[in-house]
Amino acid sequence: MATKRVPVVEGLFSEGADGARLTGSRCATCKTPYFPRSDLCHNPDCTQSAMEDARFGPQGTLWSCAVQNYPPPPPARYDEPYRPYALGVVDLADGLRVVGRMAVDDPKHVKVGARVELVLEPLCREEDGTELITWMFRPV
Amino acid sequence: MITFSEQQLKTPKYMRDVYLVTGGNSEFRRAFPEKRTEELCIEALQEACDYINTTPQELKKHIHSCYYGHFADHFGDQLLGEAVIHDRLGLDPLGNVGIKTGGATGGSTLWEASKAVASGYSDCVLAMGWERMDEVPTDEGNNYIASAADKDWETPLGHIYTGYYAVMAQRYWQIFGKEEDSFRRTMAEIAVKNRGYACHNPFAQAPLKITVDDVIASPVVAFPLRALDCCLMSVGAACAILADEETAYALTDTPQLIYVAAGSHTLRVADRRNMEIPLLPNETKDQYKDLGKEFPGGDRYPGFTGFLAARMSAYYGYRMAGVVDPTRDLDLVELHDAFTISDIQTYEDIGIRPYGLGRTYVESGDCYHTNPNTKAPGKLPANLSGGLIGCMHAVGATGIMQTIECMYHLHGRHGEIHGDERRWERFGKQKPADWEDLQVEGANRALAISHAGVGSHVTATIVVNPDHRLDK
Ligand SMILES: [Zn+2]
Repeated sequence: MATKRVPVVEGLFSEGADGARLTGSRCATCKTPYFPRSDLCHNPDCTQSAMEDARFGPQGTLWSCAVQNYPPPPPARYDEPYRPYALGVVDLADGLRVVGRMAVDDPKHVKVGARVELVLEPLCREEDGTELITWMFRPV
Repeated sequence: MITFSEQQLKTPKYMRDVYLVTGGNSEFRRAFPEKRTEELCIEALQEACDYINTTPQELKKHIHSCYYGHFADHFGDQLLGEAVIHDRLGLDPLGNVGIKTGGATGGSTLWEASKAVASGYSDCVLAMGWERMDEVPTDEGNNYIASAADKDWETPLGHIYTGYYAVMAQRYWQIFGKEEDSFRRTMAEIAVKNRGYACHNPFAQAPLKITVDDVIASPVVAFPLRALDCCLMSVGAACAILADEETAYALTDTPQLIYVAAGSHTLRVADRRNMEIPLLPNETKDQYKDLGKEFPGGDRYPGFTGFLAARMSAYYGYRMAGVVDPTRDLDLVELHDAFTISDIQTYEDIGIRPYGLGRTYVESGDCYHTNPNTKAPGKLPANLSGGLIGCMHAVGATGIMQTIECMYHLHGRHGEIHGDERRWERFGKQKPADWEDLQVEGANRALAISHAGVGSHVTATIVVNPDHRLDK
């Protein structure tokens, strides 16, 4: 039987035939991207807020990165024993800047400026083996 | 690029002068199991009364409305904790309101209180802030702090406050610190300096004599930040009395002018967009033209490596008080040194140094009481109280404590308050044999910065001796 995979938080990402994407919105008037979804354009120079659903990813560039050496407090989820992970800030090619974990074995070997792609990976596992999925970035 | 309208950039206006009459701090510790919160608040109020030779009974007759800063109700397991303190201080039936802006709560409380006097609504007000972080285990405390992020979806993923700080710090470290060992040592110098100054402050929680090497040998929290680069978590209270001119001079011969301004930036750092950098009075339009050449990657600035909220608070506050060049016009500062690297970032946002050159404020020795390079008085001493790293961070009280420390210097009474043997004794401490009076000679103007989260709210409080007000 295949492992059950469920999103850790609903409505933030999806996986289609073309791969993983973040789901947010974009203002049709001024093109400002929003993640997660926004009901209103925040751009003070925008003449009319006109929000449309948008999908973002998968290509991007790593802008900054830091290793989380200590376990984050609840409600953050992780498998025991805790393994330090890298938290990255990525500029996606379609104009969105977004924070996400890096999907790498050794968080110390992540280089700022690296080309990365959006992937959906398990954040942790439930007792019954169900994988809780989140978005991450993997160097390409 | 987002630009700001003329209306948004208007210099804030008080309808009349606002004076800082007096203020006081409680002692600060990691835990006060034997003291209830109201005892700490009463201790701070009593200090404020003693400072101008009056009594709480007498002072209370003048107070017309009350402003209470207290960040985390969860810590004390008591909703509406502000109202409880109000009742215990015996200030009913006056109007009171609780103020919450994370780490900037103390500064925001002064902001609200000053506007009540400036507008004419009240002639005399109480601003009181406190925090109680000793009634929950540290893990749970961190959880409450994490709750200040967007809890809907960010926290389950482990995208937490210290992680956000770390990615900002990393970016600053790589671009402006150029990952140099010398920059790492400059960061450590701040941690050494502030803990050292705390040794002369009887109110301080964590006096410590350490070296730069000790800081660099301490455990990594999130590289390049190490344990000794980080601020304290404290319990304690601080209060200030603000008033109009007539009331202020009825209560004391030497009230000081006070100006408070505030700025903000998005709670989620990833939401920060490319915005105009409003210039401070000592900066020029083309000054940052080549920033990206000197520091590759440093052209889009601030936003993620600086604190736009701090920039805005200084933008408004300097113009309210007539400050042009902070190093020249101010005599001391108390900054929000939550982390050594964020302290350096703030030097640039508030114009002590241009963007990219924050480190030179430390390296020049200007930030010391006595410049270690020249042995002359530092040009603009910072955090002589010990700051958040050496003295305290009892969230709701912090911005008020900083302002009260500035007030002591402006009155030339820093040594009297910090050197008093009886105070050391009352706090159960031994006054150090090498105790030093850190009074800044002839201080007439000072600034305190109160800062929340990853720069979501920042206030600038400027205190001025009325005989030395600046032209506007
Ligand atoms: Zn728009």
